[in-house]
Amino acid sequence: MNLRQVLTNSLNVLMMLFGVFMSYKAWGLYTNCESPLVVVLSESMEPAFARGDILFLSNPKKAVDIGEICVFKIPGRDIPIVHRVIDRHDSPETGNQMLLTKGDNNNVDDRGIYQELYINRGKMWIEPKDVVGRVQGFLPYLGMFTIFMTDYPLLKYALLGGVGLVVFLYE
Amino acid sequence: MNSLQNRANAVMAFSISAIFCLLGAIAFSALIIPSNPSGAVALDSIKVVTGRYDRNWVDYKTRNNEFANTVMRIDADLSSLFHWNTKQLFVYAVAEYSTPTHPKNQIVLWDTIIKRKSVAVISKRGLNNKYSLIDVNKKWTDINANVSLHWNIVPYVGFMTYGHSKASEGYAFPLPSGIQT
Amino acid sequence: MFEFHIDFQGQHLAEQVTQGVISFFGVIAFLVGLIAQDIRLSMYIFAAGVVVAAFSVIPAWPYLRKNPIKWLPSREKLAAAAASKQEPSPSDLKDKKTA
Repeated sequence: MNLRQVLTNSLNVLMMLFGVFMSYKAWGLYTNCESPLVVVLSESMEPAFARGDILFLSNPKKAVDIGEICVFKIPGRDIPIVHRVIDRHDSPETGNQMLLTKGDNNNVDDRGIYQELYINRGKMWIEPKDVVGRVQGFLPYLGMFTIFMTDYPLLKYALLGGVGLVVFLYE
Repeated sequence: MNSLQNRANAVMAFSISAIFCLLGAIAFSALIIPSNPSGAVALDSIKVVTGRYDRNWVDYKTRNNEFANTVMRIDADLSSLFHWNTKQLFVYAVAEYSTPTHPKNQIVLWDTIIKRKSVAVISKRGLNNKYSLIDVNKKWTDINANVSLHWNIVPYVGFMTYGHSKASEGYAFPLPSGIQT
Repeated sequence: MFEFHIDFQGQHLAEQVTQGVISFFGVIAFLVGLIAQDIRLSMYIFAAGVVVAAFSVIPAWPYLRKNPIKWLPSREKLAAAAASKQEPSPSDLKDKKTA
């Protein structure tokens, strides 16, 4: 195992990683969406989306329509929520909308979630600026992989170790 | 392809590429399968009552919010929307109206999930709205609303697609005639 | 007793068999699924294709070992054989080795 071989292998692995990263970012530009792929983590949209399904997002220019499934972020909360729009009130100012969402599998709408944090008290609606993406496509199960990785960090280290082995041992 | 694991690896790699092609073909095929769904919603009665929504919902916390209570009639045949890539239909009845302050408003009155073709023919009478019909201006005077049936096809794999029926005639809201309990 | 390796022409054949079988089952899976309007059936047919492909190329079946490389005899054997007749020249041996 010589140095030249290790360097060539590292270069190949890095090219692969950066290639994937670059296409992901290019796709993000095309769809006007910072993270065009999300993995469903909760059961609130069952039976449409289950834990571990992958959603393809985009942010079209046109206004959010009733019944569309949006991924939105409540100020102060890290984890985005995927729920369906059940009320929509458009203001005359272009683009501004008052939206109310609800998970298909929940009994009540999301106002309780909007106001959960004290900084959001009185928040009755979400607006297009809270919406990070709108669901356009669906791929089942494959996101389980990332869920396993976050649930069992050992798996993540094993994968990284595997990549390291490839760099040092592959000829 | 010399060693055992080389050949196993080659079979795996090629089948992964192939299944993505197959799933892509399935996703696109779903877009061109023809369908002829039909649906209609009508309101048999509208009653407007006043009341408090929830003390935490600041916009609606006073006692003089106007709620519209409707009785709906829904007829639909959505069985043609069930093709091989339909996991479920999300069907929802929508009221649409405009007010001087908000040119476009849509509120879901009722919804249901249909998972099988055999139950995709809907015929419902005397349905009350499942979700509160309340406007951001808290008044229903001089507002005309129409209702329509919308659906969202959730696929096994591929594209989310939406559709809706023709909007009904416009319905005028009566004056408040009671207090929400 | 167990042979895991296959010859060069066998490798080429194995690759063609893998791609052919999986592609064929994929096309059949799509068409049958489309006609029967059953995505589950489609997935089962595709899975069957992967199993068939794996079964036909992963074990080193005799059909993948029909063209083994014919190695020249080793230097010792050659030397022993030659010794019975006459002394082999060193250049002779070198050529054989690199051939």
